[in-house]
Amino acid sequence: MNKAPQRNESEIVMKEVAAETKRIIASINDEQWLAYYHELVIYAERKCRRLYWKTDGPHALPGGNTPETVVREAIKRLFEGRRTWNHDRYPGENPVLFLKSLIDSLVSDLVRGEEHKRTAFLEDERKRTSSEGETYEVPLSAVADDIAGFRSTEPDNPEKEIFFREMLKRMHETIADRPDLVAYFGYSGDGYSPAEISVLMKLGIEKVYQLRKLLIARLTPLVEELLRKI
Amino acid sequence: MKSPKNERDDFDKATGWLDHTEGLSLEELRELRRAMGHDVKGSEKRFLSFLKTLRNAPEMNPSSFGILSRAQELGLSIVNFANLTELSVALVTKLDRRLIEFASIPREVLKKLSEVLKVSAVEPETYLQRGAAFAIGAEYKADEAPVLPEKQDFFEAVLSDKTISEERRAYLLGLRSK
Repeated sequence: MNKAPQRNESEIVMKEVAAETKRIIASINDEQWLAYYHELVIYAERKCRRLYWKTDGPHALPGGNTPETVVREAIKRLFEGRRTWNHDRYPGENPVLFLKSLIDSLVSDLVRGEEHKRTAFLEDERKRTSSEGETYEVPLSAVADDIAGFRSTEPDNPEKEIFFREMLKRMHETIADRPDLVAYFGYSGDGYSPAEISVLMKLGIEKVYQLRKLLIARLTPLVEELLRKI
Repeated sequence: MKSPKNERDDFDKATGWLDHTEGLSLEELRELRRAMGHDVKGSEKRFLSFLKTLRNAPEMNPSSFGILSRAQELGLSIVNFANLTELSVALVTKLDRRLIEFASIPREVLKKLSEVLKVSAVEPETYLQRGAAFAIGAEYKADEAPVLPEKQDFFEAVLSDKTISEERRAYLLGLRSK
């Protein structure tokens, strides 16, 4: 059982919020927030699915949490000022990149909480509870960097490996008529962002976004099947 | 530029494209989530309710000022308020939901709003410059997911208002040249 104290979503604990952050948050309308929210849930869902797949553990997060509750917790921390949006590191009016880093940190903490007898999740991510029950703090930079920590060192399940190899083959077949889509798919699978792919493929960013849109349209029908299996 | 991570495996190769959905339209994102098996309608409903709670936090909302809520505090019905401000029910509703481009609102209208609401000019001006909002309690009353209309030019809103009297329409359109 998860003994971690989880806050009620309606319980707001306000700290100081920078004027620039406040201005940006106030300027985002409901429709834009919905788009950001969907983008973040898709990101968090993939992150969690990867976790389930690698660890071969239960297909659920501790404490009844879901990718959606993790995303809402990240947004809440932004509003509350419990995590400061560094506008030099994440410039512009779009909070999504900053929130993705926060989601990485929360998921990492969640898993670490499991490792610590499930006592750390959704505390302030700087605060950790040792196995002796003492609290200590870790630097935030370390929190953001160790998201890979949940990756299992156990060998992958051969059945799953075969499934993924087959799925990759089908995805390639779906886009085989378009070498540019195949290239985009390969680069995105290697972890490159659209901006980086634009440089690698020597294409304008708008062209790359068109490729991405087409790729998503072609692969979306396979997503349901893919997620059902993992 | 970063190199492909050594740990990229078949899972990443098959799903890495899901990490970059920035700039997709709201409908495209909804479709992708539906394909992922998500209850998009329920998810949006929960999120909008959650967002409202966050926005109402005192620090985020130092002034709880709202155009119609202030009118209500003063005991004005929406019709009375529309008459006192020489607008229409449709126009004051759009202003309350911040669906009108702030830059297009005539100074005289802003002045009248602050006079009738008995507040300093800063309050309605600050309020009207914030992002647009769905109508309170209106999310998902219909079967379809809510869509927020584009912000409208004040004078376009006056021209398209079917409820306003011709006399008042002429007066408001006359403010354009001032």
